[in-house]
Amino acid sequence: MDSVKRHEFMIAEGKGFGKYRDLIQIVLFIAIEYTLILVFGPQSYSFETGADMKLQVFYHLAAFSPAIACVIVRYAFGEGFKDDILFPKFIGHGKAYLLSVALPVIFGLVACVLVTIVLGAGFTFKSEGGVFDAVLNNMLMSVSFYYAAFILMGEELGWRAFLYDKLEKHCGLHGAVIIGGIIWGVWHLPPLVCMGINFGLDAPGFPVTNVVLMCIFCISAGAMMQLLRKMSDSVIAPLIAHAVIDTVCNSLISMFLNEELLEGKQFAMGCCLVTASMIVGIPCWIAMAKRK
Amino acid sequence: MRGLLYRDMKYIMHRPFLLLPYFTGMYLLLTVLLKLAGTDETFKIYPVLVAMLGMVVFLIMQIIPGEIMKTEEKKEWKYYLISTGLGVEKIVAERYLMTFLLNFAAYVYVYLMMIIFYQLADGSTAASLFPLANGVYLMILGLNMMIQAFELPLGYRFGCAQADKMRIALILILLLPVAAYFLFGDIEWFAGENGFYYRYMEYLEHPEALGKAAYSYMENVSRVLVFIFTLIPHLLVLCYYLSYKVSCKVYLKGVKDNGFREAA
Repeated sequence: MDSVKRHEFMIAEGKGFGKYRDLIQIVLFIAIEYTLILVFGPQSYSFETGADMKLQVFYHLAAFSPAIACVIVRYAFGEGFKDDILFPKFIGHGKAYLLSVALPVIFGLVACVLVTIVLGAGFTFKSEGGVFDAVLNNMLMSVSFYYAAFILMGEELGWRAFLYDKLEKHCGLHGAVIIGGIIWGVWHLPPLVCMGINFGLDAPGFPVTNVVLMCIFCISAGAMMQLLRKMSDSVIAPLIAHAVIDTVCNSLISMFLNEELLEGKQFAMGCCLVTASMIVGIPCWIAMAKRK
Repeated sequence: MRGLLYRDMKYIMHRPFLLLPYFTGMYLLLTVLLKLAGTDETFKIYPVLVAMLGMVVFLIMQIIPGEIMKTEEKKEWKYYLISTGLGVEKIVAERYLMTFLLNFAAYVYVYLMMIIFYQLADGSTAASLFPLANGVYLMILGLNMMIQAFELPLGYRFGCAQADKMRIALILILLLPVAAYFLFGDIEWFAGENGFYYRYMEYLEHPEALGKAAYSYMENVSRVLVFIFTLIPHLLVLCYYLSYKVSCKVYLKGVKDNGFREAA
């Protein structure tokens, strides 16, 4: 049997090649997205990106690398998108959408409390211009929510609409959360190394510690996102949660914590964020296992 | 729903979208010619060029949703759609999604064009003007979507011809007082010796100064005004959602009424 006939036979049978189909898809997906993020990421994740338009294009290519990889792999394997994954389904899934806002806010508040306990950073409501100024700052952050949601669509289309589901077929729920979290965490390598996001550039054991801690963070956050994805049967709920973490939580932290006391303690603060993500993520993981 | 999106895409690819490569080619050619001409003076019209391109693209995107709606005005098509079991909500949601995607595509297109033009032009000019132009285009995007949020329910209820008339009437009602003010009012602040128009023309001579002036204005602007500006995107989302809900309500009523054509 020549290779073409064998290939056709395997597809027709839905066995053999089909058994490895998902694995090949996963490997191809990882190869494409890591290539994109490693080529464009180190240049674009810098403090000069805002002013340089070429770097902005690179930044968007890097940020959308999971979505690009997902679309390429699905196209190459003749696999389309399911309607119900990409579109929001509010009716009957109200709880999931409520949780997509509530869980990240709880995560942000837990992180604030932990930073206060560990660093004594001052859990006080601070704003030079009074309450109105604080509300205004939060309103400005809420506008950036839309941009964050757009950028994070690039991630969610790759992770929740593709990778986690494929991994779950082969490795089970726990395997998908752990392996998916590690892949997601390592994907953050360029911003971790170039900008020191979350843990700073002066962390002990930099950059290995940063990557390991980011993986733990992504495993916990991934459990939360995947729970929302399953509850809502759509990627929109995890997308909202992700955007809330990146905007509202940052706003909460900057509003409640004393910045002077936090200076130079980015690593310790990052560790508090990881702990907070575990406090919120592990119950989500358990809830997801029980749902199954 | 994907099928409907695909249908709309096919229509767009064959008709109005053909204008975009034409405009892109024309503008790129103009840019290259200006670059080859090599004089600094010619680059002063850059902001005007990019602004014009943005206006044209957003105007096209403003018209397209209405044009697509016109292709499906036959009662038979509407009844066929309902018989597919998609449900009115999904049929209407597709149109709103398509409208949003078109506006967004217009924004991405203009953004990329801005990058190309400004990269070809002077770098410092680009750095100072890019965020300003970006902000203006975001405002146009919001305005476009707001107009469409009013137009779509009217189109579903009364048909596209009636909706077009109502949209033009709405724009006229909004524009008439402005036109009357500019014709008969005191516009010293606009066309006077130190007015906005002459200052703008001066700024075109030194584009970096325009960027700086905009920033200093933003720094000194009232906080209440900033608060109102931050409310606009949320109001837009709310408006879009309410418009969708109204469209769902009036969809069947519109089909049953005489506003739609019978099949030829």
